[in-house]
Amino acid sequence: MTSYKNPFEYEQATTLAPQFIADVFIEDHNFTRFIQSNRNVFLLGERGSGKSMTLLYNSIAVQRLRANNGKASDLNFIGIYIPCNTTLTHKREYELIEDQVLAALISEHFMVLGIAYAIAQGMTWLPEDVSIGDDVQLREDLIYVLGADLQPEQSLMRALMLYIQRESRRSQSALNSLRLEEFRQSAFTFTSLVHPLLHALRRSLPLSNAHFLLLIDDAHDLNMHQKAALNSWIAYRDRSVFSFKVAVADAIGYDYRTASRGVILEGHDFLSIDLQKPFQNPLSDFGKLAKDVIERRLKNISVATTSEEFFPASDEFRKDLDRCRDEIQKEAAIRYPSEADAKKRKDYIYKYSRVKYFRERARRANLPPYSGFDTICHVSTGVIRNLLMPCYWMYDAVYSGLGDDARGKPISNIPPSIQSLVLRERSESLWQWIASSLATSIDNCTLEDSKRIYQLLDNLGELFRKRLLVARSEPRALAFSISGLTNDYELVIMPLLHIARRAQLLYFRSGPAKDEGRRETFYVPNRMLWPIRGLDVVGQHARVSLKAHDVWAAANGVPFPFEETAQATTIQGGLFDPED
Amino acid sequence: MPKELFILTFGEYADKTNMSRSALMDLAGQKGIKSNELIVQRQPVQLWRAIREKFSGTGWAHRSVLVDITTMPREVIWWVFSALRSSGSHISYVYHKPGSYSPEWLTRDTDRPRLIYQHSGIAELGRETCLFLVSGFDVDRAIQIMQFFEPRTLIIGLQSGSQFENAVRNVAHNRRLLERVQNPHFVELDSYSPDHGLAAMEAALKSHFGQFNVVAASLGPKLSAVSLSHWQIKHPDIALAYAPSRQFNYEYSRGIGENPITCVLDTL
Repeated sequence: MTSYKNPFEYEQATTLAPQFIADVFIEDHNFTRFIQSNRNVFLLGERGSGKSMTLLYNSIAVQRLRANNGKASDLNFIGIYIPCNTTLTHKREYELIEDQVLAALISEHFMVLGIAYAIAQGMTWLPEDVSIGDDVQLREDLIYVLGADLQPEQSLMRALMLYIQRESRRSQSALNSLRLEEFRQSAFTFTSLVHPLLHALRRSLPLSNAHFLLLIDDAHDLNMHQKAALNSWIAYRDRSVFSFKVAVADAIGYDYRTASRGVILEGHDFLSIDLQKPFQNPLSDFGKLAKDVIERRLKNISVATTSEEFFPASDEFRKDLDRCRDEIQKEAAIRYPSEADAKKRKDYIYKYSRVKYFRERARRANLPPYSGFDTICHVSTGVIRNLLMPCYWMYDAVYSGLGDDARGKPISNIPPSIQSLVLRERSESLWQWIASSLATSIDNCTLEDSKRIYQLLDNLGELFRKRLLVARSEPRALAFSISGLTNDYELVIMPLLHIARRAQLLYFRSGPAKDEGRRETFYVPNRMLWPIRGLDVVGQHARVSLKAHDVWAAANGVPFPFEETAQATTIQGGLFDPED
Repeated sequence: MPKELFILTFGEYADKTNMSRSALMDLAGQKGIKSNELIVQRQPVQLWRAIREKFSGTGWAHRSVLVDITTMPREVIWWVFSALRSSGSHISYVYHKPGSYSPEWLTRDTDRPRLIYQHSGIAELGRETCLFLVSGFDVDRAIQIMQFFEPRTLIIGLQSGSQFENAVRNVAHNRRLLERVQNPHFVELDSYSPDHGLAAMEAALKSHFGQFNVVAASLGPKLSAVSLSHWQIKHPDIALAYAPSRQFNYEYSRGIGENPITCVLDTL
């Protein structure tokens, strides 16, 4: 049996080997270089957007592997990966404690034990030539400053890890038995444990210039006291020794209040990086990132080819599209003959070439042959895991069809027919999942909620299809905003949209509103929904404004009203965002 | 013959259980048994407090208590057992299989999974999670727990036997769905056996102790919650988890099967 290695593995990053992360991570096009700085940074994005991967890549465990691969060892920034989705974080006994000050103290205690342990563990990854294990002065400092009885026969960091582990076990036992008074005497805080630990480490010569990046993953899993404590630490002015890089999935619901009930502010206390990208065309940041991600993974299995060559578009599709573009170019030349109207001609061709293809296609019974790297990139809706997932299944489908003798050789491309088949299958199974499993798979989602979400998406699909086939304004729009959102409608619509967001069926994005200077939230359904509906997954740089009462009616099974002449709004990108 | 009867009544469903409770209390009255009703809410802090206040204390020391777990949520079973155990009671339990389960849905609208107060184990820092899940008919609920804890290793305890279309609704369904999600290890166990599958659990997890933080959850037969409780006493590092449902099918099950299972807790 030949060993099978699918290059598009998309499991959660925490299960991936450090070497794999070092091999496949792409630093460009996503602002993640901000991690290697002394700024506090929030990384925002739903599951699969690359938060954990980014933090793990910057951890000392992975950076050291890169150093071994010939890169210079940089001890100016030392990344300490601190996972929060752990059984320790999920303990909820703090809810039983009526004294909120004590509950906060205990919550912080467990959090800082986790951080201190991660720091000690991280130090074991230091290159051997800068090892601090034999630093007698550091050992004495830690014993004195932390009051820790470090085992003399153990290496320094191992002894520190054992000490923290023992304290953690002792205090968990006390918490489970509700022996809470112990904590008033002996609880650790950030200032009594982590702060002195980092300062002590900096007194060691090899680390005298080190800045510690505390990489807090899945901070949404922290309890409210721990989030408040973390925010308080982020509000510290002095960032010479450490800074926080915090990954959060629930960016909208995250609480930025500090323990003293202040609030940390973006720009002032931290900067945030949204890892979900609104644009997916080849010139966009996400388009470039996606191309690099795919090609790096292909290179790892010794396939030297471009993303476009590996995922070719079907000839039939390309020819039909070219023909439509030619015809639309001719139309544009007739409509806008003046030299001064060059931009109008360009816009017309951009808007209507693909529309013409899909309108002609609609007369046929079968679905369009969805294929090509560009199509896969748009289907991802700007989320890396959504990009890798269909690629994984496509690769698997091709591999499954190979004979034994061919299995040892690299796959050189994915035929368009397989791409199309997989995209249609994944699209169909996503609809089936909403219909059969949403209510039981997403917490706090009732059967009625799941039915409404299905109906809303179903009616959106129908609206988008009608627009694609006959609308004059922005016919390929696949995003929407909501107008007339009164308090009453907000109370019923927003919970549905948030469930859809948590299920990754809907992505929330922010863009300029029609009113000058104001921003509004708009919503992008996961584009994996659309292949089975025959829609153009490439979409358009525009959103449809829907009235709140129509959205609620659609959620209850009533189709959206449709006017051919209904206007849609162009989505304004950032200064450097190309058009979608 | 018992001297006292305690009924735990969930206030949220009191109107639905009214007839049954009245009948039970009437019967107790006829037999000279003193009835007590403890109205509780599903909100976990209140529920935990109510159970702890009612079943803890020296008054329970050396008393023989028979706990009917048939319709008890799992966290109630665990808290009642631990409160009575810490009070020094002699605990037995009884479980009545239903005559049949609804062919439709059983539970839905699952709340966020959570570790059980005072049964959340002792986690080792730096260790990854191993999730041990006794699966039942609600596969999506199992997937939800799995996605919440994101375990490095997943072990699925599958109930053996042919009761209640188990082979189709549980074993085959779980294998098919869960294999698509992550590569789990499957282990067969029989919650209706005298040890409620405890030996099979021990064998399956033996090599994982000391390597992972083990989280265990029961979505299968109610008796597997008893074996998990016992297991956690033997291995206090294990954390027990629960994903409560917020909607129950009022036709969840019908009737009472033959031969109730009765056991003394400490002899399990």
